[in-house]
Amino acid sequence: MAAALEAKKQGIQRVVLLERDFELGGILPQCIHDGFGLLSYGESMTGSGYAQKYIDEIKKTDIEVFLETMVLEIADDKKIYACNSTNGIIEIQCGAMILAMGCRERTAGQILLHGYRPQGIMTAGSVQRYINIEGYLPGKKAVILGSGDIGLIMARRMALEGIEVKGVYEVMPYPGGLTRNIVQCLQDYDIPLHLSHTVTRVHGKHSMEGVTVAELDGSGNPVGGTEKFIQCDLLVLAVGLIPENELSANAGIELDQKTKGPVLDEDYMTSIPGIFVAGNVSVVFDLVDYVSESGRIAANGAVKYLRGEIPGDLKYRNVNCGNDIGFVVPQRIKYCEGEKNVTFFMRVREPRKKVTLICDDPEHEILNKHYQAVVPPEMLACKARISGMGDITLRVEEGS
Amino acid sequence: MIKIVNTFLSDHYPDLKITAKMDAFNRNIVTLSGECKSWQQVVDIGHSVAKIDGIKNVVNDLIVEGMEIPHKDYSPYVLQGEKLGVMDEADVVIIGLGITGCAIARTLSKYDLKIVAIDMGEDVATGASKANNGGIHHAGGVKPGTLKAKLSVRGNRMYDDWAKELNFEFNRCGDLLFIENEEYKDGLYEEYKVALENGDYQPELVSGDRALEIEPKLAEYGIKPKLALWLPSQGRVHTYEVAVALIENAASNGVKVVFDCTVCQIYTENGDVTGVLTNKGLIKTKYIINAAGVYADEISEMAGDRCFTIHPRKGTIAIMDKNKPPMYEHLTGHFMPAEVQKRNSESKGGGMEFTPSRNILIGPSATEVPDKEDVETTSEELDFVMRINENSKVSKADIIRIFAGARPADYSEDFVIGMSPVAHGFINAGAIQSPGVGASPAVAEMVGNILLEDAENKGFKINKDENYNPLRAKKVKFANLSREEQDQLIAERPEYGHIICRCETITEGEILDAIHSPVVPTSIDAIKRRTRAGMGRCQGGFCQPRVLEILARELGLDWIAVNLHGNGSNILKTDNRQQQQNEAGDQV
Repeated sequence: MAAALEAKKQGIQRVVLLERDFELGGILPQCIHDGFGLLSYGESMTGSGYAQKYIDEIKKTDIEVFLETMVLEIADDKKIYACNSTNGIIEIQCGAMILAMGCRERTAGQILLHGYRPQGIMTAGSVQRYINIEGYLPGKKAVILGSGDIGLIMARRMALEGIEVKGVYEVMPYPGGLTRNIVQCLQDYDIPLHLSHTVTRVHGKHSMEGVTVAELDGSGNPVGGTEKFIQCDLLVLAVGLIPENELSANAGIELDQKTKGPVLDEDYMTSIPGIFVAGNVSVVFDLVDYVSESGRIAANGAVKYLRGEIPGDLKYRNVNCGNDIGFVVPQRIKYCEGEKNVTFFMRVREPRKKVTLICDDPEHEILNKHYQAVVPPEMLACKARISGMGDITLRVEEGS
Repeated sequence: MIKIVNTFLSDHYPDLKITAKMDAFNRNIVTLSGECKSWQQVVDIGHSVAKIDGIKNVVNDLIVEGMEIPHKDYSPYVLQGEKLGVMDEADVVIIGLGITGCAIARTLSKYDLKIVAIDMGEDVATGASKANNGGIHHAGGVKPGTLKAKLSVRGNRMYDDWAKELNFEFNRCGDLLFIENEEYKDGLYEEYKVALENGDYQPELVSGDRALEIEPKLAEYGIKPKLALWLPSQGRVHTYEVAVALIENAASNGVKVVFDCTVCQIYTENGDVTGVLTNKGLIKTKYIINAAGVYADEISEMAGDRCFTIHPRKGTIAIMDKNKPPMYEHLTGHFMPAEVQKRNSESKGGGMEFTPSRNILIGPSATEVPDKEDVETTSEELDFVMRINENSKVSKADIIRIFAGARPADYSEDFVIGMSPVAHGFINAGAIQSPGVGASPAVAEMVGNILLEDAENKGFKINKDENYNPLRAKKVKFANLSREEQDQLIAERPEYGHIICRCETITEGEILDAIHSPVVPTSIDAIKRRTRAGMGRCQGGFCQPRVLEILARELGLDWIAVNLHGNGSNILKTDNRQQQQNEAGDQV
């Protein structure tokens, strides 16, 4: 929605928004907790409230919205095939295209969860949908695996709905979610957080009887003798998000193994000129404000492309991940004369205290920024003024 | 015979006190009892006694010191069933609706017979038939002279007609086994000879060059085969899809299907079967066909005929994301003798395969377990399975689901098919494990012939059903249609324009087709097996609530009554809004 609104604002005549769900907003309508929009609006809104602001804006424009419409294929030359019940197969020839398919949750299979496969194993997003949108509770006693923000939010949500939350188990030695969520969602509700722990076995042939949890050693293997059986009828998986790039991959867009999203430049343009990406399909952001911001960046890129302001033969400078940087977006920058402002989004690999983030190229240091503490769950965003040529590297150094 | 068995036991297991008894019907079936040190030992002794020349099978009552072997308790079902009284009357009751039971149901539906087909699960194919890799095997790996070999070869050839009539996906991919050096040459020759002896369809020993012609992709990976065995008969299916197709066709031809129906007693009078007691009541019948998978030995025991023992052999399979395409078009791999690969020679498979939907499957393993319902996966089993991965582009990171099933193996390691000499009218179709999927058309044919022959001898006249229709209409698979076809379809029925499962592109129309079918699926997993909704990389994360909603709406159920897989597996426990409204009402 942010990208569509921005494109409209920049004077693009025909903007079409294709949405597979029955309402706009993606996952936001089921996020009825607050904490959305702090950066962009200076107030703490619910996810549904935040989405509604955009929906209201869209309604004021002549942006064409297609709901319950699934894109089946991105064909060559920026042609889209989609379908819905009223229009049948829809073929759209785009001048430029912005992909904003979001992300999906990792599943039991992907984390190699072992034991039986009874009913009662659910991703946090599914539990959230059942409770917040549909109005049903999928269990009475829950264990949560994964301390990412969704897991923490759901711990509180389930506690409020009267589900006994037996604990949150996290594989890593540090929490996966934002500190504010640890405090507001776990500590305030006396829900224990067990770091360096995992679920090793699911019990129950037909319906869930419980799980076995165990402590993990430094290399991630269960420590013998630490296994504990916990009775529960619901195992909530909050074990990470993956950008949903099947359409992009099938269209031949180059993907980054680190972000699982397309390789992007500073306009959020992919390896196919004229195709841009916005939001969690490009990289999993942790703040909705960043997501909306990426939409505006992509829309501005698309506008430039439509106006012929992006040259055909592009030369790129790579943006590399240096010491302790897990990934960085954008992954490359168009080579140009003069200066330009670019915001880099990145995550560190490990939690550290008192560090300096350095951005440089072979010729000069572009930026250095001090942090009291950095942790992988909290994305770093830094604005840099880029000039010159050569590859750019971002890295974290000890000391400040 | 008993002397030979006792000598064998005292020679090989002098430390154990094992008693052997021969069966009363001179079938050379031995019953073993006594105490062993481990479950593996129980299984090993059973196998080795069954291998003694002249012994037909083993009923294994051996127990393990200090180990409780789980047994199903039928008494609550008996109480319930007796209370309910007569539930139905039939000519034939088929117990167990895995691929074997479904095949038998469809085969017998050609005749003017009243058939009731029952299963303890909530759907067809809820046991081993949903947890195998769907191979329609060539005959290079089965022991010549066995029933398995005979029926596997015949069943394999019958699949073409089945696929045509029943409209399921069948891919005759062929199996290319190659060697790059001389080491396993003898083994390859041996497998070729076995295939020939079994009468497999056109097995061929081919040169390295010819192997490259058959599977040009070998060259891409820099593989230079020296010699290869080409077995064009190998095929692949989705076993659960075949089972659904069979039972739908059977039901259209008049077979009555009852789920959640557990057999707990079998009644006989003067040596003839008269009825089957289930938790839903008594079904009076002339014939009983036992296709109960891992429970087939217990069902046979209920009929008074203990003639084999099922020892479940667990197989774990990892299924990979479709974005990692299979390396080859044919089933292709290095040839290695079973013992080198450390796989079980009695169960085929155990390699890299892929489904007709082009998901790579790795596995299954083969582990003897005491519990028939042990389908737990473990990291050890998964590691074992991943060891046979030959695709360097595939790793554990690509797994979308790990599952396990229990093969119903007996100690003769052959199929047990035949009319019981103890309970007349009781026909076993037991111990049907690998290559049981491929053999199933021939198993059904054999069981059908046994029944027809017996009826003729008894003067019970069975006519062909004049209205029998062997055809099952092709189901819409939206994702496989051209854009024009899709557009036309949506214009006719708008439900096909509503995508429910994003990963596999499954429409509401396809889910409605599955629900409004001759055998109504009632669980989320039953919908998954029929439509693939929820089988993709998100594993139902997005579509499960939508499928649940459609099921509840179409079947007139409350949301909380919808199960994942059978009774007691309801996904939602509390209707929260209703409860809150009630509480608010109480306060007023």
